[in-house]
Amino acid sequence: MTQSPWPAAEHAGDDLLSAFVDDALVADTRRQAERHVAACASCRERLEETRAVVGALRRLPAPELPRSFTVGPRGASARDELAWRRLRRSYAFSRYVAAGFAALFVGFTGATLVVPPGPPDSPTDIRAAAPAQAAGAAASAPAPAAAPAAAPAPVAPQSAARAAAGAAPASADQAAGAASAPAPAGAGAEPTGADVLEGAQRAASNEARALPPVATSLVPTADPRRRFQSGAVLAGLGLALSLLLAFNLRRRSRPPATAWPGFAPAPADRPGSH
Amino acid sequence: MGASSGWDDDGVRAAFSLARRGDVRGFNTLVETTQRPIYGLCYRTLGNVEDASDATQEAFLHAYRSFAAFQGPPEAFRAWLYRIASNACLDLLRKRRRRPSESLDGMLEPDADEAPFQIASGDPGPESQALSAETIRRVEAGLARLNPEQRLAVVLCDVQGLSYDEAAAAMAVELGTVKSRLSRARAHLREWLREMGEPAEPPQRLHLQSPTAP
Repeated sequence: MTQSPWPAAEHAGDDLLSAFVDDALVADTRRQAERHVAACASCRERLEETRAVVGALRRLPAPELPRSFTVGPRGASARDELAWRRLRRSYAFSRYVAAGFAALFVGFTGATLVVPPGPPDSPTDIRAAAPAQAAGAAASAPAPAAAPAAAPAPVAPQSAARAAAGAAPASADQAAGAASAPAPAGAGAEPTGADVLEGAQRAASNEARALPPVATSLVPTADPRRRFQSGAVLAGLGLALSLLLAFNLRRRSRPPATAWPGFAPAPADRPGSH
Repeated sequence: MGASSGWDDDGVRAAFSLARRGDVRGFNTLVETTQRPIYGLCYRTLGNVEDASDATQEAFLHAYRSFAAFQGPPEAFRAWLYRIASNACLDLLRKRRRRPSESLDGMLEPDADEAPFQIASGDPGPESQALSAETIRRVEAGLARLNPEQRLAVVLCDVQGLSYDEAAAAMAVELGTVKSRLSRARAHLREWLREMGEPAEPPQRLHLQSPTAP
């Protein structure tokens, strides 16, 4: 702010004109400014224009108030707190909708457990077929073609041996049945090789329908599928439970200060930042 | 000072003691007394209703939260409240600068071929004398072209009628800074309006405004 006298040859600066308009010049400077302006047409014009600008700014109409900006009892804007109450009322309804979705989800997950994934071969079939195949494979050990199939499964030889021996253990019931279709189980300790081979082939072909060819050689194939299913059920239950919990908790919780979480008195120098 | 700004000193003093009770209703009388000038400041600084409403609400919420910490006399309340509102405006402008908005662009479309700004009267004139709609639009467009600091200075001092001292307190700057920002803002507006008054010259000389944005 230059309030010092300026050379008469120089035009008045904007700051001086501005202060002149506001009548904020010290007496000496003001007198000098008046003298200069009286003599200098260019500065006179700028002074008049500056005055006109200030006059226009002062007469700018006050904008219409779009709404009231009163504060609500919770420290958010009164308008937002009203909106929050309305939202909570409509929220009761949305809880039921959410509960419905959760129930649907649980039902769907449960259905995937009960309904078998493939039409003819339920998980039980697959489980039963595995020992049967093993039995067949073990019985046909002399046949060189079947040998590699039995080799990768370490459990196979045992159960196969038992089945072939006619012991018919409880776990291998169906396998024994399948194998004994042409030659009844336990018919003799030494069944004809052809009979056993035929039963093994039949069991193997059953198995081939149930599983892709590569999988037939692996006994524990059924397990991952079951694990996936029980995992899905657990996940579904967990999701449903957490949904219900979350909604219940939210119902009980106090309404937050909506858009202004920083409710604690903030320092006065800056407006609360979000 | 500043009858045009709508700041009601007596009303504020009365509401101030009510607000001192510390409850929301008392404070809301203060809101009702001051929301017009505060909204006016925000509207002239931000240029549109939506942002101005946001900033005004933010300012009053902040004022409510920190009112207990305000120890000054009722006379200092004006600068205090204006400072909160100014900060709310600048915050919003910063946010808007980060994600470019079209809200200010709408104000930057002057029609150069309309009647020239009436600059004949060197006298600020009585405040009752209404401006033409065209003049209002041009002044608003000119305000929109200023940088935020200069715009805030000119809105506080000329539109809202704050004294230099009050404006310095509201902007948290030195007195000299207020004066220089104000004089530069007025000079830019003067040049802008003079340009608008020359129909032969379309708004190409926009570079005139570029030095205002350091």
